[in-house]
Amino acid sequence: MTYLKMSLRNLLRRRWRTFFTVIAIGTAVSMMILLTSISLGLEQNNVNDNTIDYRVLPSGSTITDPITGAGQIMLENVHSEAKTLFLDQNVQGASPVLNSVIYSRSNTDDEANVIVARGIIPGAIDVVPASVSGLTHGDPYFYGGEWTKEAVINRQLADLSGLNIGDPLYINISADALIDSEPFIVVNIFNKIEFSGYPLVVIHLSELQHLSGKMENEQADHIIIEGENAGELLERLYPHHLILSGSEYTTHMIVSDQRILATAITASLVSFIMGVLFIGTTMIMSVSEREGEMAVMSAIGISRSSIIRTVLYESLFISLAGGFTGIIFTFIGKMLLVSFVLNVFGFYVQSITDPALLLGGLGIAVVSGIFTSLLAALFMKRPDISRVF
Amino acid sequence: MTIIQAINITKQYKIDKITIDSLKGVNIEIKKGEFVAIEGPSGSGKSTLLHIMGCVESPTSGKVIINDTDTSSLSSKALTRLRLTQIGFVFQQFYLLPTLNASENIELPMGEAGLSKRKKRERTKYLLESVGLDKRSRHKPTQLSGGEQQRVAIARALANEPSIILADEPTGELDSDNGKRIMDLFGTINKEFGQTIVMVSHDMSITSRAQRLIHLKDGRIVV
Repeated sequence: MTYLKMSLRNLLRRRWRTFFTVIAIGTAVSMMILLTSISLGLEQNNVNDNTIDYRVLPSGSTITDPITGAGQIMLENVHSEAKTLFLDQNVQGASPVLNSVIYSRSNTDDEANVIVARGIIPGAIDVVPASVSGLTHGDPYFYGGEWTKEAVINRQLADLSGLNIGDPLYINISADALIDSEPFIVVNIFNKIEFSGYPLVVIHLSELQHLSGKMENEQADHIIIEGENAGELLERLYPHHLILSGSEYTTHMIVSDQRILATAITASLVSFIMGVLFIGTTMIMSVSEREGEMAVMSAIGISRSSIIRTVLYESLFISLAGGFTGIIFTFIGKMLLVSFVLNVFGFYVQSITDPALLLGGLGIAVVSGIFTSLLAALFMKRPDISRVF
Repeated sequence: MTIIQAINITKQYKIDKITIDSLKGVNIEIKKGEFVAIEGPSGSGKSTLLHIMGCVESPTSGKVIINDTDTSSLSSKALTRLRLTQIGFVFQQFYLLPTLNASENIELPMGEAGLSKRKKRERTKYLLESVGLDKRSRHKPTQLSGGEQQRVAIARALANEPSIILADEPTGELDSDNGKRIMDLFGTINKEFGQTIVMVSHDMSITSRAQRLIHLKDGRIVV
């Protein structure tokens, strides 16, 4: 306890130096978290909402990015899977999600556009865009009914193709196939800022399965589930699938996508190196200033390990303070960045700042603190008592 | 009973390529409970001898035996432990730790020795009362006068009830009144607690308070 006090007071004694070191580490940590959050956000052209408690993905699946995820492993028989889920009281909502890159054209378009289509079961879960009004609830075509031909589009697609509610929209898997297509009708245009990064159309799952050739085996990328206590049920129902909670899904995205992983590793390394440099500089100065104090401690019988402990505590305090500051900076930086990009460039920067990512940032700060203090301990000379007295 | 025995101690320092002989074959025997003063002019090697007897410096040759333990055979860790439990240091410039208050400075060696929180608190209170600073326990060194700091340093030296107190010019930084108070305190410690005191000073008025005087000149004991 005394050593803890000594370390803390020593930092407070040089409060400006400590302050600037903490700010520097905080900046490094927040840069790491922000960069990874943004790369996650850019990659995740997908449904993202805090309401989603679990995601079921096929084992071995990478992320469900419609652009990069072509040819990836798919879930099968998803309608019946979703139906089974709904029978359990622990499940409040569930919908399979199919993402696909398709072609679209409106009556005013000169040529076809490449857009993202998302197939869901409307009303099955209270998550945007699955919850967007305008689409008939359920999936009538799958259960023998007619095609609804209903489409909800985002503001970007509306602006791109000059579409309004009630307008026809031709969508299909190839540009040539658009010629013989029956049009979908725009039933709603949603202005959700999180879905403003690319032109998007949301239609009934089975209709997209049909268009994209995924009706056979009835495929989807993943199933989203609302229900905090559904974990056990999911483990039982899908023993061979990946069942991921919110944070696990973020981690899964990072490790399963090499670009995000590369970004996360690079940002973490830079953050770690900056942390080591800043903490290292502070600790070297602190240790050399306290050479006399350490010699006195040694003379009165304080062991070398206890003296090293004061250095370790000091760097841990700094790194923890830097880590927490980094978390605060992340939220401030995120707000500033979103507002800047929105006002200057007119689109929303999607970023996913998951608790796992924040913990990662804090962890990097702490690891750099421990690493630096171990280095300091390794190179710290035995106090030369005779030189001091 | 002999508590400190310094046998044929020599100490050489190398500054650049010049070798300086600080101690040239010193032999001392100090008995338990003695109050010994080592006196000599500046550069006579008295502080070096004190540091060697206190195991903070090692001799170039010769050996120091403390409480029947040959310190030359001890590891650095064991020497640190010996300093913690058997030797109390008092320095000319007090050397209290600036981030700790008076109580915490005294408690530090006790904590290292593994005393319980309650025992540490009780003993610190007792020691502060003994040096007349029980009202100043929460004060940091910078909030204490020179004399008060030295009294805290003496209390710290007594923390683990060591059998030996080594004091290096303990009144060197103090005015004569405070110097006298500190010497009275050493006298009390020696008489009431029975601690062996070895003190270094070049001030005859201070060293005259000791039971035995060792005069050192040019690294040798002068009779």
